[in-house]
Amino acid sequence: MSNTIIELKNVSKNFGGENVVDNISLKIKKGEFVTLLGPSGCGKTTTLRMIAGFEVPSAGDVLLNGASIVNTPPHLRPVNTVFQKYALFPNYNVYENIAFGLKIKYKREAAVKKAEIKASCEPKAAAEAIKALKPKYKNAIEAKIKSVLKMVGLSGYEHRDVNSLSGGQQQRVAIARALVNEPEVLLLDEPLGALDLKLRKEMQLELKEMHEKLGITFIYVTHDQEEALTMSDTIVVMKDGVIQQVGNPTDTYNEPVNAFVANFIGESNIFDGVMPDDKVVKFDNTVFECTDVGFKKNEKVDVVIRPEDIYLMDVTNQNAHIKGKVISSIFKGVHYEMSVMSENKCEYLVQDTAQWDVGDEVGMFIKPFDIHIMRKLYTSNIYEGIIESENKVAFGGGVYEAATDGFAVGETVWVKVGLNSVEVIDDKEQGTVGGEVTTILFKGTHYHIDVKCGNFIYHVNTDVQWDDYDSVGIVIKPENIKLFKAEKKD
Amino acid sequence: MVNGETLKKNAAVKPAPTAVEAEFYKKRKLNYYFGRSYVYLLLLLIYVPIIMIVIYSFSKGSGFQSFRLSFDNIKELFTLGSIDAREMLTALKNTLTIGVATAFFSTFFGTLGAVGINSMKKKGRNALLNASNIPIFSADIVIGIALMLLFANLNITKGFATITISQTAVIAPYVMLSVLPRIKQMNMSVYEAALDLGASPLKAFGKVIIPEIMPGMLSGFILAFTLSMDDFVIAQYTKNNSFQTLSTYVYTKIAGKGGLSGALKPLSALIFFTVLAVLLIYNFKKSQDSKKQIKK
Amino acid sequence: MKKIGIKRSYLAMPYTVYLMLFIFIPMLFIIYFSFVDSKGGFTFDNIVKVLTSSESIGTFLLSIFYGAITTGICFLLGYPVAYILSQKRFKMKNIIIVLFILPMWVNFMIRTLALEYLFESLNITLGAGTAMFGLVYDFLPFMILPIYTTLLKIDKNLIEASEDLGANPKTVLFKTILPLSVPGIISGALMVFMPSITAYAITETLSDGTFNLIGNLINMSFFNNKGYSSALAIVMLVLIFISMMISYKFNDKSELQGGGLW
Repeated sequence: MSNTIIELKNVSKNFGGENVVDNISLKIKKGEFVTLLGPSGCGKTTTLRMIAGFEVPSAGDVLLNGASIVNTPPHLRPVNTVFQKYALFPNYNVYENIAFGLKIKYKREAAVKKAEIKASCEPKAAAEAIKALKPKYKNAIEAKIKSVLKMVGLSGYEHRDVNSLSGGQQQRVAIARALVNEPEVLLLDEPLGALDLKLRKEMQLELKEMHEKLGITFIYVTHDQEEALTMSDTIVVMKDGVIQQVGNPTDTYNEPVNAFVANFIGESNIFDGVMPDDKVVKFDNTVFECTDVGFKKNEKVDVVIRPEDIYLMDVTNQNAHIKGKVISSIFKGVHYEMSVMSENKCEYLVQDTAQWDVGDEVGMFIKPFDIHIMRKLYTSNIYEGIIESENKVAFGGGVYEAATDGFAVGETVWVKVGLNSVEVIDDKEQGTVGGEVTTILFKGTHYHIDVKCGNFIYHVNTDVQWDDYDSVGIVIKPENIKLFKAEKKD
Repeated sequence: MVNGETLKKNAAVKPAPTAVEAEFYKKRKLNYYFGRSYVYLLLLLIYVPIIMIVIYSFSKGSGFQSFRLSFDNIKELFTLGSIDAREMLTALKNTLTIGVATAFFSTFFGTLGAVGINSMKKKGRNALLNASNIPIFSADIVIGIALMLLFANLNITKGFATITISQTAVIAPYVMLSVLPRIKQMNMSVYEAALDLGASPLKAFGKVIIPEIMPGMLSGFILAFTLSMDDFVIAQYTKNNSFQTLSTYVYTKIAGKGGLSGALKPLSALIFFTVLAVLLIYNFKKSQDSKKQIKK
Repeated sequence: MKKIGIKRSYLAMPYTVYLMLFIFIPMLFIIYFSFVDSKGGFTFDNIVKVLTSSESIGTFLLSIFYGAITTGICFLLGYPVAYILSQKRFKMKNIIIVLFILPMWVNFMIRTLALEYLFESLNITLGAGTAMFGLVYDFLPFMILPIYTTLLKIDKNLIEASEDLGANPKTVLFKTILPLSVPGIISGALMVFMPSITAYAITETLSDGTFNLIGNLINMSFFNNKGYSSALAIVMLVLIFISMMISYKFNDKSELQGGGLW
C-alpha cells in the first residue's frame, strides 16, 4: 500500500563470499519506529547502510515510496543517518556541523532560482534579485538551526567547538544535524551505544518523544533488547543475516517464534522436548500440559519458559510438576533470581518475589499457556559434500574421514551429522576445520552452540560452556558421518 | 528433516555481482583507473633520471646524449681500475657506515624519546613535540652551520663521528615521530606491571616495551638510514676536507667537472637495484605476515 | 624491599638532552657569531647588512616567492597522489609509497646530476625553471607522505556523514576531506618550503649557478664572512619559528603530531 515508505525486497549483501544479509524482505510503514535488533554481526547495520546508500545490495531491491533507490547515491536520498560514533566534523563548530546539509540544499535551490530570475527579468533587476537571495537563505538556515537546537535541548551552543562537548551533547548535535534536513526517514545506527546507562535511558525517552512529535519514520539499529522493547513500534529480530521475527514489542516478548529470539529477548529457560501428542509436551523426563497443537507425533521441539512464569512452592505441594533443589539465589531488587536443579539434573532459572535459600527443596509449577513450544530450526547438520577419495569426504569447509562405501569418488552427496556427534575442541589448529562460537543457548542440561567456520555453520550440543567468539576446532568421528545420495531435483 | 534454510546456509554461495551492483561500481571504477594512471605516470616521471642512469651505465661518456655501448664503466667499477672508482667506493663505504651508525643512534634516542613523550603530561609533551619539529621543519643548512660552529669552537676534529652526531640530531625526531603512533596504540601499563613483578626498569623496557614496538622501531631505522643516505648539506658542513660521503664526493669532485662519468653510473644503478630488491622482499613479507594474521 | 621505579617519562631524557646539545646550543652559536666581527668584537654590522642590503633582501624575497611556487606545485602534484593512494580499494599502496621514497636511496646529488644531463640531452637551457623542476622532483615525497598519513587517519564515517547530508563527491572532497587533511598539508608544505629555499646544491647544479636562493647565499658567504652568513641564518631561524607556529595552529590540538613522514 502507499502507506509503506521503505521496502526491502529479497535483499542480500555479500562480503567476500559471505552473505552478511541473506535474502531479507521487509516493509516499513510511514511514521513507524522500527528497530533492527540482533547480536553483532547479524547484518542489522549492513541493512541500515543499504537503506542509507553506503552499501549496494548484491541482490534484491530497496524501494522508497514505491520507487527503487538502489541506483541512487547516498547524497541524493531523502534519508539521513545518525552515526554510531556521532561522526561530527571536528573542524566545524556546532552551527557549521548542523548547517552542512542545509547549505548544500540551499545552494542547489539557489542555483535553480538564479537561473529562473535571469531568464525572467532584465539584467539589472536580476542582479538585485539575486543579491537579495543570499540573506534570505542565510536567515532561513539560521532559523532552522535555532529551532532544531531548541528541540535537542542545546540552545545557545551554536558556536561551541564540537570536541569540547560531552558524549551526550555530541549525540544531540548529530541528531540535530540529521533532523534539520527534514528527512523522510531517519536512520539511527546504535546511536546511544557509547553513552552511559543513565544518559542512555534519558536519550531513549527523548528520541521517542521526538519521533512522536515529528511523525517521520525512524529506523533504529541496536543490539540492546531493552532499548528495542522500550522505544519501538516494531521490532525486527535478526540473526546471521536472516530476519527471525517481525512484531511489536509485546508480541515479540510474549510469543517468540524460536529459541534464539526467546533467548535474545528477555531471559528464558530453553529445553529440548518432544510432542507426544497435541497439547502435551515432554521435557526433563516429565510430561506437561500445554496449549500448542499441530505438531507431528513425537516431533522434537524447543520448549521456552520465561523465568517469571515458574512458580516455586513447598516440595510437598501436590500441584508441583517437578521437584528440585535451589542451587543459587540472588536478590535483584524487585525479585529473587534463583537456579533450581531438578531431580533429573536439569537447571531452571526462576524469578520469584519470595525468597528461597540455597539448598531448599522446592516444587515447581508451570501453567500450560506459559509453556511455549517452538519448532526446531534444525535437528541435525546437513551439508552438501563431495567424495574426495576413498574414505574421505569434503563438506562444511573441511575434509573428513568417513565410510564412503557405495559412493564413487567425485560424487556429490548429502552429509548428515547429528548435533551430538560434533566434537568441539579448544585448539582451532587441531580441528579438521576451525571457527568461532557464535550463538550460545543454555538448554538446562547442556549447551547448544553454533560454530561458524567461514561460510559454514556447525550446530553442536555440548556439555562445555564456551564463550562468544571463542576460537575452536571441529572434529567429527568417521562413524558419525552419514552420507546420502544427492537427489537431482535439489 | 532436510531443512531448506540450513542447506542454503551451508552451501558456499558466491553470487556474481548483479547488474545493480555492476552499474554502481562502474563509474567509480573509471575514476579509480584514471587516478591510478596518474599515480603511475608521476612515478614513471620520477624514475626517468634513474632509468637513464641504469641505461647509460652501459655507455661511454658522461652525459645522456648519445648511447655508445661499452662495458668500460662497469669494468672500472668492479676492478677498481681508477682512482675515481677507488675514491667512490671509499665514499660509499663511509656513507653506509655513517648510515648504519646514524640509524642506530637515531632509533635509540628516538625510541626512548617516543616512549617518554607518550607518558608525559600534556604541557611537557607539547613542548618536546614542538622542539622535535624544529629539526624537521628547519633548513639543513642552518643546523649544518650551527653544528660546524659548535665543533670548530670546541676544537673537535671533524669526520666520521661529527657527521654521525649531526645527522642523528636531525634524524632522531623523525624516528621519534614514526615510533610514537605505535606506542600510543599499546597499553603502557604493562611496563608498570613488569616493574611491579620485580623487573628492573631496564629489564622492563627491554622485555616488555621493545618487543611491542619493534615494527615501529624497524621502520624508524629504515627511515633514518634512508634520510642519512640522502643527506648532503649536514655532511658537507660537518666533515673535514679529506673525508667524503657519496654526496659530498659527487658535489665536490664531479659536479661540473666531468659529470656522471666512470664508475658512478653503474654504482648508482647497483645501489638502486639492491635497495629495490630488499624493500620489495621486505614489503612482500610484511603483507604476507599481515595476511596470515588476518587468517588467524 | 622498596622498589625504585623510573617514571616512564624520564625515558625521554637522553633524547631531550641530545636535542639540547646538538640542536639548540649550536643555534646559540649562530646568534653569537652574527654579533661578532672578524676581530672578535661585538657588532651590529652583520644584522644591519642582512636587513638593508639589496642582495640579501632581494634573495629573501626571491626565495619566498620561488619557495611558495615550489611548495604549491608539490601540493598540486602530491595531493591527488596521496588521495588516490589513501583509498581503500588501492591494493598496492604500500609498494607504491615505497616506490616514491626509493629514489632517495640513489644519492640526491647523483639524481640531481642525472637530471642535469637529462636537461642537457633534451637541449633545455639550465636556469630558474630547471632548478624549480629539480626542487619539486626532490621534495615531492615530503609533500605526499604527511598528506597520505593524514588522509589514512580520516574517519570513514565523516565521509559517509557528508554524503548522507547531501554532499556529492565533489563537495565531499572540497568540504570534508580537504579541510580534514589540512594538518597534513601544512606539515607537507613546511617540509617542502624550508628545504627548497636552502637546498643550494640543487639550485646551483640545475641552474648552472645562475639561480641563487637564500641557501646559496648563506653557503657562498660562509667561508669568507661567517658573521654575515650567521646573520642570514638567524633570519632563517625566524622563518623556522614562524613555520612552527603555523604548524602548531593547524595541527589537531589534542593530537600534536608534526611531520608524520613515515
